[in-house]
Parts: sequence; C-alpha cells; structure tokens
Amino acid sequence: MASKFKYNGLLEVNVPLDPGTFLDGSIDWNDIWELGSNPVGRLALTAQLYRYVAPAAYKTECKAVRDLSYIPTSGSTWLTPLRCDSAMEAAKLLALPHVPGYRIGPVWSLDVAVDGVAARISPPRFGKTGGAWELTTTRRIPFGERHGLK
Amino acid sequence: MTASAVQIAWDRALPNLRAAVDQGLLSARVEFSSNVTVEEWIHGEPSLGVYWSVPSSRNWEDRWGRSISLLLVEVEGSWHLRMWGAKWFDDWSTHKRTVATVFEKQFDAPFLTDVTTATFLSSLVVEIKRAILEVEEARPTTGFQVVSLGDYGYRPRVEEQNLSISPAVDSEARSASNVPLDVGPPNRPVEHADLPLKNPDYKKDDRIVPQDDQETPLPESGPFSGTDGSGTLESTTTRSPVFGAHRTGHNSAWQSATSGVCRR
Repeated sequence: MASKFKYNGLLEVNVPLDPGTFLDGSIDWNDIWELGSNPVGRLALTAQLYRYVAPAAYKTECKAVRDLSYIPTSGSTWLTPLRCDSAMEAAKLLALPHVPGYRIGPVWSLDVAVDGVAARISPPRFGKTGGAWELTTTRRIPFGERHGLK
Repeated sequence: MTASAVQIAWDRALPNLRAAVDQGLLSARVEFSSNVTVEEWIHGEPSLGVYWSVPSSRNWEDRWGRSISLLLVEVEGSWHLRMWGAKWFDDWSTHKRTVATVFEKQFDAPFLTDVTTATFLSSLVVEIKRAILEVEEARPTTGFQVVSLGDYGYRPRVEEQNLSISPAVDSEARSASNVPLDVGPPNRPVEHADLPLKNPDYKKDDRIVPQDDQETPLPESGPFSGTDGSGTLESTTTRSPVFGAHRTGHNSAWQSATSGVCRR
C-alpha cells in the first residue's frame, strides 16, 4: 500500500503507508512503542504471566478443572511476569506464603482482566523480600502449561 | 482440622485483626495519605498483609516502606500464627531493593478451637498494635537483604538480551553505609531528571536523522540540480538535505508533508 504526497508543490514521492496508523506527522512513533515510562501499561500489553502454586493447591485445582472445566477461584488469582525455575527463588521474589511446586503458564496478559491488585512490585512479607511484579484477577484465566520447579 | 474449618475460623478472626490494624495505624500516627494497603488471603493462604508508606515505582519514590504480615501455618499437626515486620527501600536508579526484617514472632493459634477465642484475639490485637508501632519506629542499620527489582515481563530484542536486567537474587549483603537511613520524609525534592520518563534501554535507531545531515551541501549534480526545481528521486543513494539520509519505515518527508494538514 502506497500513496503519493506532494512536498512543497515540487515533488511527488511514493511513501509506504502503514495501515492502522493515524496520519499525524507530529507523533513520535518511537515513543508510542516505548512505554518505558509506563511499566504497568507495558506489562498489561506485552507481558507473559505465570502462576506459582503449591503442590496441594495444584491437586485441588486439577480436580476442580476436571469437575467444572474451569479454575474456580474464591478470591484472587495471583499472576506475575516473573519466570524462574527455582522454587526458593520464586518464593523469595514473590514473597509467597508457601514454597511453590509448579509454575503454570505462560498466559498472555491481554487475556487477563486485572480487576484486583494492579501491577506492582511485591512488598516484603512472610519474612521474604519480594521484588518481582505481581497482579491479581478475580476473573477466569486461560489454562497454562505446568512446569515442575526445582 | 480440615481446610474449610481453618478457612471459617480465619474469616471469623479477620474482622478483629482488621480493627486492630486500624487502631495500630492510628496510634502510630500513620497518615491517611501514606498509601496504606491491607490484604487478606494472600496467594490463597490464611494470611493478612498490611503495607504502608509504600514507595511508588512511578515516581521513583525513595522513602522506606513498612510491612506487617501474618500467616496461619500448620506445623506437625498444630496451628500457629506467625507475624513478620519489615521495612524496605527501593533504589530505582540501581534497581535494587534493601529489606530489613524488624521482627518475627510466632503464637499458638487456639482461636481455631473456639475455646479461648475472645481471650486470644484480644491479646493478638495488642500484639498487632505493638508490632505496627515497632515497625514504624524501627531504624534498621544492619541485617539487610538485597535483591534486584524484577522486570515487568518485557522481553528484550535479541540484540538487547545481554543488556537486560534479570531479577536474579543478589546474594551480596549490602553494607550499612550504602543504605540511606530512614530519617522521615525525603529531604531531597524529586528532580525532573529523576523521573523515569525514558526507558534507559531505549536507543535511537537510524531513522532519526543526525544533525550533521542537515548541513550536507547540495551535490552539484543530482536529483535537485534542475533549475526549475522539479527534480526526481531516481537516485536514492544521494544524500538529500531535504529528506535526510536513507530512511526506512515512516519517512519524515511524509510526516512533514502531512503535518500541516492533519492536526489533532
């Protein structure tokens, strides 16, 4: 797709048009995709999210999925963009109350309605440091792959 | 005791604990505007988390955050209530978090059996108030844990992989001299340069015209050599003072041509 534009009435040049962009030359498109100054917005648009669950909770969850075909959450489902293979490291960076047995995910952040805790850095709690990003949802989320943690 | 019984007992205890938190924050003179957050059932566990003076990442706030957390745990068949207090400092310029655990306590949890519920909860309320005051007044100088603050799921491009910040645990203990002490509100005003307006990973690409291109003299023979100015762009390798050097994607000629027409 291309279009001809005149410049100063002298020239006509063929310029490829990007469909879906607004024809405003004053916009710096690099800044549109930057989002570096808005980590929460960037997370909501671009992140892959994971859950870290305890083995017992995962068994209960699997039974519920078998019976109900979805994950019933009485409260909040906690998600994070943190991806790590170590159970202890996940427990420390997410300040989990338990040592997780599995990492479930990824789930694309656009498939998650964040209606609980908005994306934030997890505060220290339960004697652990926190420091990873976390958010919660009370809505249903897609299933994810299961990875055993070391 | 079954999981549902624990859930019922914890839900019964929570209103008392919330009231204790409110009174504790009031007695510690924690201001309403200090970003107080109270959470229950964190990660589905019978727990309670109270955070105040939470530093916001948006403004790179450099104050110390305060945290109280309670967790009901079962150890060898008996239930206990554990309580932690912590203060932390997020350094957004180095992406490091410094955490000091102020205290860690453990109580038996007889309120699950409905026998001494009222007595235990009343004593627990006192403990929570005392804990909040203890965290508020703590001035930690030693025993810090340091971790890297995590990224937010941004997957860098291949050429940036080596530059990305990983949330790996920093095992080095930070010396107390490097940690700014909590002496109340920050005495340094937030400067404009401190605000994270730009991603530090951001690198301008070659679509941005270098300044010296604007001063490139016209070639003596080229697409603009015609006297009537009706040159053509047959030779794309010739540097033009009007369009800059070889660009791809959004052409500034197109932007310049349309900027006078399409205004928001």
